[in-house]
Order: sequence, then C-alpha cells, then structure tokens
Amino acid sequence: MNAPSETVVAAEALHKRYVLPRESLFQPPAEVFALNGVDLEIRRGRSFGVVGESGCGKSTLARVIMGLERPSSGSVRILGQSVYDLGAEDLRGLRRHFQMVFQDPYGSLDPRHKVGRIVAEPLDALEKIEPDVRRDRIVGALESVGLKAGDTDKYPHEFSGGQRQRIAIARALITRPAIIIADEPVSALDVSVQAQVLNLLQDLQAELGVTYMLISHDLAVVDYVCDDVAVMYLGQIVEQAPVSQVFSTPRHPYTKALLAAVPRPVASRRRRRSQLQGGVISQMALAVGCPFADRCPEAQPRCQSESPALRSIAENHRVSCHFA
Amino acid sequence: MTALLAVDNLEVALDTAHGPARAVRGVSFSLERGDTLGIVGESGCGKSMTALAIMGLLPEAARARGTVSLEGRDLVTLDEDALCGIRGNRIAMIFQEPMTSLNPVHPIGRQIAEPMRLHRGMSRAAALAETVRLLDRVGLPNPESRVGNYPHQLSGGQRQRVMIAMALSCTPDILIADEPTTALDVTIQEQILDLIHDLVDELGMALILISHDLGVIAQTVDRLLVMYGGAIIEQGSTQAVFDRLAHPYSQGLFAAVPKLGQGATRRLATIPGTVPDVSQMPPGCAFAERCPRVLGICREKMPEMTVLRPDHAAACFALGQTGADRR
Repeated sequence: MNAPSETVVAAEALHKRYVLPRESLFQPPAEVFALNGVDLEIRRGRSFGVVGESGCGKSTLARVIMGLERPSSGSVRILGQSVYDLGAEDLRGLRRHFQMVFQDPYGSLDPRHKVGRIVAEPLDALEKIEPDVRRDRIVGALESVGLKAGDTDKYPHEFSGGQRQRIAIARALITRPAIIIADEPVSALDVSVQAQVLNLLQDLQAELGVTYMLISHDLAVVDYVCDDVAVMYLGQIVEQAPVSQVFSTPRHPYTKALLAAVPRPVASRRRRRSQLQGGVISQMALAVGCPFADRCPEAQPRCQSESPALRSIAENHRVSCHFA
Repeated sequence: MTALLAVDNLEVALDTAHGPARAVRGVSFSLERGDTLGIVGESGCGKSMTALAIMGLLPEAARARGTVSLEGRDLVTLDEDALCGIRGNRIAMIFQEPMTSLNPVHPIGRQIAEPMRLHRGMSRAAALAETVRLLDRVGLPNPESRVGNYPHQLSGGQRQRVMIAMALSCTPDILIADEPTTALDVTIQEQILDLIHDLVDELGMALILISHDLGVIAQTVDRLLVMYGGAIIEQGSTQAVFDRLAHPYSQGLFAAVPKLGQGATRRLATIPGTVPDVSQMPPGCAFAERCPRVLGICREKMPEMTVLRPDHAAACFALGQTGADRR
C-alpha cells in the first residue's frame, strides 16, 4: 500500500440529468438520470477502474470528470482545482494534467491529419513551443508507445486498430498528464492486440508514473490494469474497493452476479444458471429504494422502500447494500 | 447414413481492391442433430464467411467452392429459389447486431411470423398464435402485447430474443449463431446463452456458435474449431482442446486473454504482429510470421491436420516441440 499520496481526481456528489425532447405540451419533458450522486477519489499512482453494464453511467462519469459535460450538480476537482469553476482559459491550462483515450480508434483520429499533427494537438492547444522541441516531444510520445519517428508523416488509415490506439495513447501522453481517463480503450480490439495495448498501459505506468481511470465492461481487463475498482449500477457506485478484494470477496449482490456471469475459458458445458433475471430498469425515473432491488436475488421488503447508503464495511471497502 | 450437414473443403474467394483474397481455405467439418460446434478466431479469420457460405448469403464479390451438403444435397451449387426454401426453414441464423438485423419499420410480430407464413404456409391467425408462443418461450414478458412493438421499443437483450424467436419459427435443423452476445452486457449474455443452450437441448437442433470469446465457446459447445487466416488450425472436443491447446496460435490466444482473479500478477503474453491481410496470404502457414516456434518448412507449405488424440487435431509442423500444458 502506498503512503497517503496526492489526490489527482476528487468528485463529489455528482448528478447528471439529461432532459429528453418534449413529447407533449402539457407535460414536463422526460429526463434520464445518468448519474445519481457519485463520489470518488483517485490518488496518484493508484489506477482506478469503473465497471458496469451499458447504461450504468460509466461513460457519463468519464465525460463529466473530463470537463466535457457539465454535471447537473456536484463538483470535480483535478489536482485540487475545481474544473467547473475555472474559466475556459484556465481550464485549458489544467487540461495538460488530464487527458482522455476514447474507445473507437477509428473514429477518434482525424483521417485527414498526419499522425504528427494528431499527436501534437493537445500540446499545440496549450503552448507555443520551438519546432525542434515540439518535434522531439512528438517522437518521444510515439516511441514511448512503440511506434517509430518515421510514423509522424503517415495518415491514420495506414495503421491497424491496435496501432491507432497506440497513437491515441501517444496523443494523451504528450502533455505528460497526471491522469489518463480511458473509456473502453481495448474493447474494439482483437484479443491478441488487446493484450499488447494492456501491457503498454502497464509499462507506461511503470515508466512515467501516470495514473489511469479505466472505464470498462470487461472485469478481467480492470483486474489486470487497476488497483481500485468501483462497480456502478444505474448511476450509482454500489461497491468500491481494491480490485483484489472486490474480485475475491464481492459483497454487493450485483457485483457477485456480474462476476458469476463472466464466461471463463475453461471447458465445462455450462450447467450453472444465470442468477439475474430481467434487464436494467429504466433510467427515466429515480428508483425508490435500492436501484438493484428488482433483479436482486437477495432482495427483502426493506430494499423496495429504503435506499441503502454507500457505507464502509472494511478499510477501503464501501458497499451500498443493507445486507452486505 | 449421410450427415445432417457436411462441409467439405470449402473455399471462399473474395474480390478485393488488392486482388482476389482467399477468405476461407479448405474448411471441412460435419454436424449431426444435437451437436454443438463452436468456431473461434479473431476478426478476419474466416469464421463469419464460413457461416455465410453455409447460408448462401455470401456478399456479391465472394464465390464459394467445395461442398456444403445438407443431408446429401449440395447447397453451394443450388440456385437461389431452392436456397430460399432452405434458408430460414432448415437452417436459421442469428446475427451479431440485434439493432441492425431487425427491420425498424415492421412490428416484431410480423417479422417473426414472416418465415412461418412463407415456409409453413400458415394462416395469419395461426402464425400470430405461434409467434406469441415463441416470444413467450424465448422469455419476452407479456408476449401478446409485445407482438405489435417495433424494434426500437425493445432493449438489446430483448431484440436478441426476438431474433432467436425468428430463427426458431420454422424449427430449423441447424441454428447458426454468429457472435449472438457480443453486443450485450455480461448478465444479459449469460441469459441468452442459457436460452440458446436450452432450446438446442429441447428441440434437438444442431448448433454452430461463432465467437471470438474463448469463455463463451468453452461454456457453450461440445466441439470446436479454431480458425486463423481462413483455415482451421485446431479442432476437437472442447474438453480435449482446452485441456491441452496444441497449436501455437491457440496457445497464444489463450495466454493473451486477461483472466479474472489473476490481477496483474502475471504479464499478459502477447502475439507479436497482426493478423495477415487475406489478400496477401503467404504460401505456407498463415501464422508463420507471428509464430514463436516457426520452422523453415512453415513458410513453404501449409501444414496438414495432425491427429493428436481421437478427439483432437491440429495443423502445425512444430507440434512435436510442444509438451507444454497450458497451466
């Protein structure tokens, strides 16, 4: 365990509602409740994973922390500075410390720009620097992700999916950020290429000390890269702890079900039955009681009426369940 | 007795901008009622092309050679009219994207009833009743009121259930599921796999499950094929193959998957390089350029399938050097 270290990201009571298009003149427009009170703290050097199923708010969380979408309420602090209280100019300066890698390596690189320009873009937005220094920074970033100096003059279409994701990582690294927020960085890649990118993320952490916030639906990927993990369900964190603790002794019924549902590459014609029935309920209404109560195999009457708080059950282990 | 489905030396050639590409190379296997067969491999390995060739749904630029015989009747040479009588009727398919494979402007009930009206000559009322029964069987709540719903009114998992209901509507002999759960969340994936599994048991169909996910394959099928570069490189019973992965590619693929509960204790093994371009396939083994055990001969000719055990075979020249169990 690291000594108490600097907090890179602190989010407090984040709520995010999206208002849907009005369907009737006489009724207020419907809303989607994407985040319902998320608190988290990421310390330097302790990579943080966020897992959950589609619609649980994990991508919204990443976008809100990145300063890309203003939360309905709550605050985000990066290195102690409140993202949503800064002016545009100051926020841009702060952005050197937090960068993002997106899921789709095809959509996130401009096809008409050369790799050198793509990678340098965050740097160019921040400061004017000598062409030589700029060139060195580009080459340095490309080399750190296993690409070559000669690749600066190529276009994205000349690269495979895995290489493109390396370019996206180089672009995030060029400002030497404290934290990289990666939203499903390997889910579009083939297994053998995915492993290369995951190893690269680990190497970069060892070399440069960068901290990751990794959003993924794949629990094994988070297990491999992260130190801590938060499990999200319907816009809330339902369990949070060090990765090894969550995956060895999950306490929330949803975490247990999620873990049990991961197919393991061991030959056994499946005989275990899925524990969860039904799908995620609508996000259009705020749930009364526990949001997971409808699908929970351990639900009691109390769960329908009283919403459980996220409480500590052990050191660094928080769960929101009445019975954990 | 002739097999239910016998694929023999199937070749699919694609016209691409870079010249002809051999997307499927010499694939052979056979299937009986009740069999469950998995096809596993990465993108571009030819697994989906194999399925489309069996269905007679290859893209225009593709041509199939070899034989695909359904109870002795060759489908490759069959004309479109005759194929229409088989497709959806004897062989049905579930596609990966439940979003795009349903027609957005027709209610789901009509889409499920369509093959029954077409192949089984059922009346509108009888087809509707059967549709409700099928929707109920695949676990869609309130089927009577759901038949009039449009695809956008359903969730991803529900749409995949509709696809399954449609595939089952004519009680096919063979069900081909191409990445049926890739677009779904894990808990929903588990429900859908359970459902497919139950239906195969219940109706005695044969199942071909195509997936890139070793976990899904391991837990759903009895027998599997590993494909790379358009060819089968390893095959056998799921038990035998997972007990002892023989081909260097299968081993590499397995080692590259992060496993839950291992954390970062062990560095992921990677396979260097990328999947070869199908239009520039080398004359020898397609995996040679990335293989840790490559020999001189690998670059000259394609390895033959070597039988290791009665229920396990692999196509590799360097099999003798293995001896390493996967654990």
